[in-house]
Amino acid sequence: MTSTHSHEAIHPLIGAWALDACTPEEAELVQAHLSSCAVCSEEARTLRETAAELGGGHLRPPAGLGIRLRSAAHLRRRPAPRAPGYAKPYAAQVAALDLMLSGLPTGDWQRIAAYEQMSVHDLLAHLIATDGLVAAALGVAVRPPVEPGTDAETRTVAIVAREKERPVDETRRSWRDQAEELCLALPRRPNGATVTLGFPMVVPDALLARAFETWIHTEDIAGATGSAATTPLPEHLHPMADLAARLLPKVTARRMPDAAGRHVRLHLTGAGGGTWTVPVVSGHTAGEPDAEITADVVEFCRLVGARRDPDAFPAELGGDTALARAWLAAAPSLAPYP
Amino acid sequence: MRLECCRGGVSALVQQRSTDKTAAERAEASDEDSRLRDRLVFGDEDAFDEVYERYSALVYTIAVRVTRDDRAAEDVAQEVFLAFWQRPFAFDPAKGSLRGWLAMIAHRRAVDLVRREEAHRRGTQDPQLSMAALGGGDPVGDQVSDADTTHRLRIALRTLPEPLHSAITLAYLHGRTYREVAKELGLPEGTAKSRLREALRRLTVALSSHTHGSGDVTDRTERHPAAPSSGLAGEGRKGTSRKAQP
Repeated sequence: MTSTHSHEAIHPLIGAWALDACTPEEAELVQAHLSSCAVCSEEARTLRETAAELGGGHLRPPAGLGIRLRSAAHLRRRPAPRAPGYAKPYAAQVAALDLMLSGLPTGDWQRIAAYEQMSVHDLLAHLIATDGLVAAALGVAVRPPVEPGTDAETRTVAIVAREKERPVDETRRSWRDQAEELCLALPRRPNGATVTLGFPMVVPDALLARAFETWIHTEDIAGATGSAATTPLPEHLHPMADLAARLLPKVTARRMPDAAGRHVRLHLTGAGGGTWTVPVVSGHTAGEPDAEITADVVEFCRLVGARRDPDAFPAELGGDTALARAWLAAAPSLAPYP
Repeated sequence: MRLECCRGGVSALVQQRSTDKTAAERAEASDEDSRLRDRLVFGDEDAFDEVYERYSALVYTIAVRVTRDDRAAEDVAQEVFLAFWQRPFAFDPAKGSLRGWLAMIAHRRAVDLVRREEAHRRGTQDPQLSMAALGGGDPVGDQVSDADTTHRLRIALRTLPEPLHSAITLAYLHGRTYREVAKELGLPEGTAKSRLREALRRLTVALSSHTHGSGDVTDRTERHPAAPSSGLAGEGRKGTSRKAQP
């Protein structure tokens, strides 16, 4: 006897499934089967593509539909905050994280997502805290006001404590509203103003750092809750990788003081990648590289974000491999936590 | 047993269709779909406009054909695009094209609407006349509808044997389940299932036949004497749309 879940039972249903002519129960069985059967999945894909043609010659929808749709879309989901070009990576990460949070059951907000103790709710409070330092520097009135000299860690402790007392929806709204205000306050063109996030950075770099951290925590939350996530667009990833390459000498200098004058050539592969020659200790002009490292750009960013183990990091090393390994081992120190 | 079941003609023909598009073409199309999906994830309104520009005619046409009501079709189209904006991860580029997925969602929503609200309309349509609409309509010449595909589909539908023709019409245009198709055509359910699959399979071959032939999907042994060899698609749109003015 053939089970209703078997290949033999499901395969004849694929034509009906592709035409939406199964019962909902059967459609579910087919869909479940497709994820595990390459033969049926290929046939389903092809028959679906054919079914897509069955509408025949295409009719133009009424002119007003597109316009109505745009305004309806705003009500369903906020688009990325409007931002100058240099802050688009940040605006995009805000939109993606907000999308993820919108689908999160309330219970999932208490799941531990990072640093062995921070819940999803806490991580969002942490983002509010650090974004708030940038927003305050741009003249946005943040609550509580930022005292001079406050660092991200101190502010995080205060905001996490505050947000614990608030419903998750309100935390989400505070974070998103502040991100919108931050983007609104940004100068159209960078004007040399700096923001201190661990060390002083020009505003565009601060926004890239915020994009980077928002992405890394989005992945933390995705991992903790089983939510879908995607890597940054290549045009957003590239400036983040570039920021990492420019900032890394600050930490490698501390970890590898004996390597002053030496250089690492970094080849980051994949869309958004590139090649950088990075001094181990900043201030030394680029010369011939002493070591070469080739790695995937997304994985490298995760390493810099302290989300990968340098000892197990997949990279091709050339030249002075001991130097390359020491440099990779130092890379996660760029992340502000832990 | 499992292998036996897969050895039939369908898999071979499906494979032929798949290899018709080169792997590189498919990968490129899939990359483009992935990127559009990701741009929606990142809240990019321009990407939303692009999706609408590319696929609104496809989605709207399917909705009109099935609902036969232009207002209902607009509602269906609106919901399809809003749902994608709201939940872009519902589309998985690994499982097929964005075009195929949007068409599927549009058809499913239109069928749901027809099944839910317009049951009384059923049985009042002549499947033959409605079938003509599948290949008809006014091509708008946009990126989703190349005239060649429409032409080949029209020929393919015209030459589809009548038993397959009736079955796919009832299912696709009238939103019938295969069980309802079986009942209406007085067939065992298994036969209805296999006719739907066979009809789609033949259309698949016909659509990929630009390198293989004319798009005629009839074969001598199966051709139904009642099936007109021409004029189905050419019979125009009468009976296809009550209110829509394509």
